Amino acid sequence: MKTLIILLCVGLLMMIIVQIARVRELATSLRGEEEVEARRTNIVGGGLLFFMIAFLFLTAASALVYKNYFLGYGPHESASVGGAEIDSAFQATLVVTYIVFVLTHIFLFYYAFKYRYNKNRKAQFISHNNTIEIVWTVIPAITLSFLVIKGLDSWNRIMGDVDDDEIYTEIEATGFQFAWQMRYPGPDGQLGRKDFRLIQGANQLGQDWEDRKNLDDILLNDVYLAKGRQVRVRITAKDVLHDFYLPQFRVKMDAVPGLPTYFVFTPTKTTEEWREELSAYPEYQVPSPLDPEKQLWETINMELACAELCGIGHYSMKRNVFVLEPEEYDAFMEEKAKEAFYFTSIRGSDADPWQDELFPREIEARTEAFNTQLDEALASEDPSDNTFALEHLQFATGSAELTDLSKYQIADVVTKMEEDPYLNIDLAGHTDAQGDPESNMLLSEQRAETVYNEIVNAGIDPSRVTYTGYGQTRPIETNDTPEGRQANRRIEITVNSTAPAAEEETVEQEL
Amino acid sequence: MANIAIADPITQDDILIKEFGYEDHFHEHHHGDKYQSNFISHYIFSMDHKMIAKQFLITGMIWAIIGGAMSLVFRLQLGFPEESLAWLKPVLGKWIQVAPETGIGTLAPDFYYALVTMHGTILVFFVLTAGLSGTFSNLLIPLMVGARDMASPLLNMLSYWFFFLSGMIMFSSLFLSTGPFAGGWVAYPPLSALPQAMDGSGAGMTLWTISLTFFVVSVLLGGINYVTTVLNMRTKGMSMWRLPLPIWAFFVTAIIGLLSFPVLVSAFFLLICDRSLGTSFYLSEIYIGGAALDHVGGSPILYQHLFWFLGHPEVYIIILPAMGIVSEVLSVHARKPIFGYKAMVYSILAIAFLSFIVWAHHMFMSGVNPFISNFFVIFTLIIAIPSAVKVFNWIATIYGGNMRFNPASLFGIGFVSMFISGGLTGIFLGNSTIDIQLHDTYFVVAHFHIVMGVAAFFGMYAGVYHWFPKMYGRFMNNTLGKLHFWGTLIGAYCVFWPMHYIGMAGVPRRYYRFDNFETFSHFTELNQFITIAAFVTFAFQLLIVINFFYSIWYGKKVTEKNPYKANTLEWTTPINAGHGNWPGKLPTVQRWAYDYGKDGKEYMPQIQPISADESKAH
Repeated sequence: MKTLIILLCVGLLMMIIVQIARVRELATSLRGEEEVEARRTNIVGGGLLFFMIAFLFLTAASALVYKNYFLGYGPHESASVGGAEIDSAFQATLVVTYIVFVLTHIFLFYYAFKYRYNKNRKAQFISHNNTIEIVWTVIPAITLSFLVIKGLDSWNRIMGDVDDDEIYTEIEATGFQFAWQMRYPGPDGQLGRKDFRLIQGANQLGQDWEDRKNLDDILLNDVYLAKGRQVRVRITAKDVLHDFYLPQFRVKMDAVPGLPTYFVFTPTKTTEEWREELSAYPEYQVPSPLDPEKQLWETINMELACAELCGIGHYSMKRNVFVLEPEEYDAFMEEKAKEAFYFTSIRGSDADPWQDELFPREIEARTEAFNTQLDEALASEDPSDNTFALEHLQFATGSAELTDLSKYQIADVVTKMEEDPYLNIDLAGHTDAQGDPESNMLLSEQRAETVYNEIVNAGIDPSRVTYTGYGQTRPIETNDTPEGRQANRRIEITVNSTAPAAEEETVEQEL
Repeated sequence: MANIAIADPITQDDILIKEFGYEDHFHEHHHGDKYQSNFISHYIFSMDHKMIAKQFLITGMIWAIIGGAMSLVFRLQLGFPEESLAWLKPVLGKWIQVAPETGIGTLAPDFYYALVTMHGTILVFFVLTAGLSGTFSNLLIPLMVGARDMASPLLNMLSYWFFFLSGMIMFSSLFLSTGPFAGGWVAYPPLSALPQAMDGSGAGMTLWTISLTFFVVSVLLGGINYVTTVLNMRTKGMSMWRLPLPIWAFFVTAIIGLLSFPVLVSAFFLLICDRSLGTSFYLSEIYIGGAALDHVGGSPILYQHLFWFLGHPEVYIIILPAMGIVSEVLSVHARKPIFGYKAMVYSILAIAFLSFIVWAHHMFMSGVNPFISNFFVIFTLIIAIPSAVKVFNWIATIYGGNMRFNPASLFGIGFVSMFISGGLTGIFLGNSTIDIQLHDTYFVVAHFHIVMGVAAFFGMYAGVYHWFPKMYGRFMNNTLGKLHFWGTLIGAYCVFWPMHYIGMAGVPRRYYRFDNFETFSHFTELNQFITIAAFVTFAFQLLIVINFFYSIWYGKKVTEKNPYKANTLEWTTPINAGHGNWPGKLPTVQRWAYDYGKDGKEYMPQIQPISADESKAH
């Protein structure tokens, strides 16, 4: 009903306008066409002149009001080296075009006003003027040459790829419907290979784990950059076109499926410095939407957006950008390298091609864990704490042959015994309750002996090591579940170190 | 029809035509009148260029209203995202999602993108290509070159009906359950190639490509006709250097269309192969919808090259006819020759040539080798020179004139203003360095809407107001026309000027909402202002629609053949020109089209012989 009334009103209004317009036209012929036309010509001419003044005033005034949106002005200064050149090209063009804009509009409307119809005047017959035409062809040509040369000079510097001998960090941005995934090279400084066919499960980038460069790559949602360090962003897309757009850095480049693109730039200010700059402007001194206690400039972040239509979620592909001091950045990345994606999500899964190998970080972690366990055992008052399982010693099924990877734990034991000449150990082999108890007893003893042999072969005095087999007689877990049985199959070590207090001091002095 | 013409008073023109005209024995063969003797052959399947022009114009107007209304809906979303749109549910149905608890209706993002896409497609192709070029090329080429009709009236009729068919297919796609195509009017693959990527890329995209393929057929049939007519059917004495500027513009536009639109079809053909036949022209290494696709080795950038090889000339296909119309309108109403006629022609030719070698300036940030962009920057900014020459010449035409202010000339002046404002921002965007930041922001939206959207509309309006008397034998209402002019001039600047500021601040186009980003979210007031301005401006456009249809039946009757005292040939035809345009002999041309105010005479029609004592220079 309401809609109907509105429609009727609109219809009525239109009819009224049409009637008024009709009456005006009729009045013209009644009052004498020439006189009315002359008056109307003056009104329209004045209108054009007034429009020109109002238009030029309002465009200038609004530009002043919104001056902080102009590139390179106030809070809208670029945060990258190349971006400053873009801003300067923008400003040069702005000056030139504004002058042309004002002059041409003055001429256009003023002449229309000045040469409005007057029945007593005749138009001048001016069909052309070669001199003036050459002048106004040459002047734009010269001005444009200046702008083109300035622009292209910057363009080739900004868009050039890195040379081999340049120092830069390469990171990778991958766009997909509807988010970005950032990848950082990790300690090796290199991004690993990827292939869209390998995308599966957790491996959403299709990283090829056969490529060792992938193993330390760090996956993060947000963009982290180091101030003053050149960064080359490799830009890729999984599904459709996206565009890697960092408005604060004047960085923009399409992400194209099947065709990696790049953008090289150098951030010039940290997020903190940038926020500090914004704090001077009233529009950033309003309460922050994130934290009402704070002002906008304290919580605002630089952002990564998508600038190529990619589907219905195109408007939501936001990530934050954080620029850190180089030292902060290094510390941050070192911290994040510990949680490299491969080790948190791929290691040990079916997709892991390196199951038969230990990586240095893992060997170190195991050594550290063993040393801690050993130290705790020796420090404990309670003698029952002196025994713990060597969980990384593994045997081939049903045999006393140690797996390849067990050598690291043997080495840990040997190292410790070499360091501490008073450390004596007792090895105990245990099995689960599956199969014949007697052969289990034999197997456990053989396995303990294997370990004993390895340690002695490494140069440890045999008198410091003893071994026993207990078969299935001393389970520590139920034998009804696979996990329980797994825990029961073990080599235990019992340690004791009876060093006289005086001699310990001597050792320390020698060190 | 012919007997109406006889009823006109005999004028000086008739005498001149009778004396100097060329007898082509046209009216001795009556087959011409036969094929438009009944209602269907006269008004529907008409082969008369004047009727086809009206068909193009009215169809274009309907599309303009549809396309414009679409922009209002998405402007509501952009300006007032929190307001309820539930009241639009009766029209838009499921695309308005009403929350059951609150009753607040929101525009579905799918449909937002569909609206943006359709708005672009409709305005660029159906309104500003078919509606502008189709209307005025058809109406004016035969009348201004002194021809009885187009070279092939049949192809001309087919040209309209292919356009109509194309429009019907596009319109029907609006009613698909998965929605019309929504991947932007440029239809970049892989988004447009993969139905998994977006609902609209399924059946909607299929209909979109079919529709536009028919559209290209229409443009090509029309274009062949325009070129042939201009080259072969000029009347005696009408040398190329005597052609009025609109004809030069239509002629060159048609050539650009003939050379560039086929490339669009080949781009679509490869796209259709990728969509339906499993080829990989544009697709490579794609993982979407939980599966890696088989496509390897294609390049999405190839599509962009092919598309913009049409796409950039397309913007000149839109603006050149408007330039031609404005040149004529300003000259006639300033009562002065167009300043620098030859420079105007050469700049049209230069712009046309350059339009073919600048396409990659749409692709600076698309992953093409940055080195190649150097050339495209240079060629792009060279276009500014002929454009500047044209602007200076229009201003110089007004200078020293005796300017009549009517809706046509006012829109002509408005056109020049819009073309300056929008053209100057092109100098920012054509410079690849600045384009890094401004590419695909609202600055681009502001630029192209002003320079080829609003400006082309201004040219079209100038043409409609100026030649309406020739089309219908009546005048449009001047008061409504002037009101329309002021509303449109101020309104259009209010809509598009603020977009520059939003764009400089970096806000990307084609965003459904801005509040996800801190950088883009503090422009609420400007966006609301733009939306309100868009509604007001749209309302003002209804004035010309009303004025147009009202004046067809009730407008003030034209009482003399040449109401504007213009020089060109169309004003020597009877007020309601019948088939064949001239009742007797064809007029012959004695001079160029712009002898206004020469030797103290207000005007000298092209059919008037050069007298012995006339000054030589023009």
